[in-house]
Amino acid sequence: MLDARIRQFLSQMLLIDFGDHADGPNEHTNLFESGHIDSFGFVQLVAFLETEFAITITEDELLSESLSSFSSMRAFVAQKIGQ
Amino acid sequence: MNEATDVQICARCVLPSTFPGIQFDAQGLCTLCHSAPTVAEFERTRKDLRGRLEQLFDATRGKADYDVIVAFSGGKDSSYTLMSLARHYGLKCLAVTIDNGFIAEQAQKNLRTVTSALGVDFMMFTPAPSFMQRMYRTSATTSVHSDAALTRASSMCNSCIGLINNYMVRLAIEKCVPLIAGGYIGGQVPKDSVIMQLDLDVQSRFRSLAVKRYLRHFGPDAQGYFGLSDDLVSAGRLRTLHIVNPMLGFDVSETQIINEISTLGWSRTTDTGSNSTNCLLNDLGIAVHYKQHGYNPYVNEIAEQVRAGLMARDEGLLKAGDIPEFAQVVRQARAIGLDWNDV
Repeated sequence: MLDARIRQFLSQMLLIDFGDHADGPNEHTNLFESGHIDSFGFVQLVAFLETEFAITITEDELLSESLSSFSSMRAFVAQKIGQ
Repeated sequence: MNEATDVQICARCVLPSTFPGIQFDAQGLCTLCHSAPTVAEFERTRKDLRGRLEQLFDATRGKADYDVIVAFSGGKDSSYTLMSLARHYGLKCLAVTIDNGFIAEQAQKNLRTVTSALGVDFMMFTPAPSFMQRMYRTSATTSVHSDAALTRASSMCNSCIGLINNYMVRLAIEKCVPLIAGGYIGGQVPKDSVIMQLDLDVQSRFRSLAVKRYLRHFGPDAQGYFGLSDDLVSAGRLRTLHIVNPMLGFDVSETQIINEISTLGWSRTTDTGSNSTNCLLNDLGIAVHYKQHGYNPYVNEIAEQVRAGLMARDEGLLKAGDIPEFAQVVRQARAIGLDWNDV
């Protein structure tokens, strides 16, 4: 569920899909370094995660690598909601 | 090259089947129209957004030399934004223009006329023309921006917007101004961006990642235009600032906007195409984007205005269908050293 919701958001809102192209992003790609998420995308991502999973993301967490890739954001949200 | 052929257009808005990530149902409605609010819901949302903006303005007013830096292009939307913030909300504004070297002559007059009529301070920053031309040329020929960003604006416009936004943040830090306002409308920026709180430490880290791409594409000078150094952030007194796009909360059509700002002496340009009121390069950006992606880069914003009840669909269809031929933009292409065969 968690996995699917994040994937759906990334695909529908940020047009990021994993595995379609060999040279495309994978689940471990740093999406900020690769340019797949820009500053507006970052705002959308944080708003989505906080609303969808009823969590609050702190400044320290924003400064960490927690949201940099699909795998890290999935692990981060799972830890926040105790899954 | 991705030429659009047999393109289906949404029955409610104006999105074409070439627009990324959308599908059509049996009635011809696009994915975005399916999940879109009704016109009445749009109006309620805008009213709520205006309330949030007013609270923020009340909390900000009178605490610094300027209440707000307004990213002011001289176009209709940023002129209306400046007018609203200065007159309606009584904020002390600093209007700031980035001269990209391609501001139409009438738009340059509008910059002076509008700021003078409103009695607001005005300053302009002119990046080196050689850098700007390289930035535009590279943006037209290489993949610089995310797919999502390209649904909101052309690659050339995205690069320019990034440079402008970064300059405004740096200026806000230097001048200790807690608020930056842009004139973006629905579809040009995400809905979440009507009020964005920016933690400057987070922003500095974010920019350091983004600037690597810009350095790779635009060369070493990009650091000065797209970077946000830790030293600048730590030396400033601000820890956070707010970026607002008030137009997302206003109930105004394009006609109403132009009628209002005309009272300040603003006049429409005649040489910037049907989707810009300030930039001579805009039509080139549209032509390049259409050649590469098969849809008008303004179509998302036009579709959103139609859904929100702020533009008639027929008018939207006309605007979205106005794609310049290369022969119409060859002069602009030459001005940035762009070879059409490289697009």
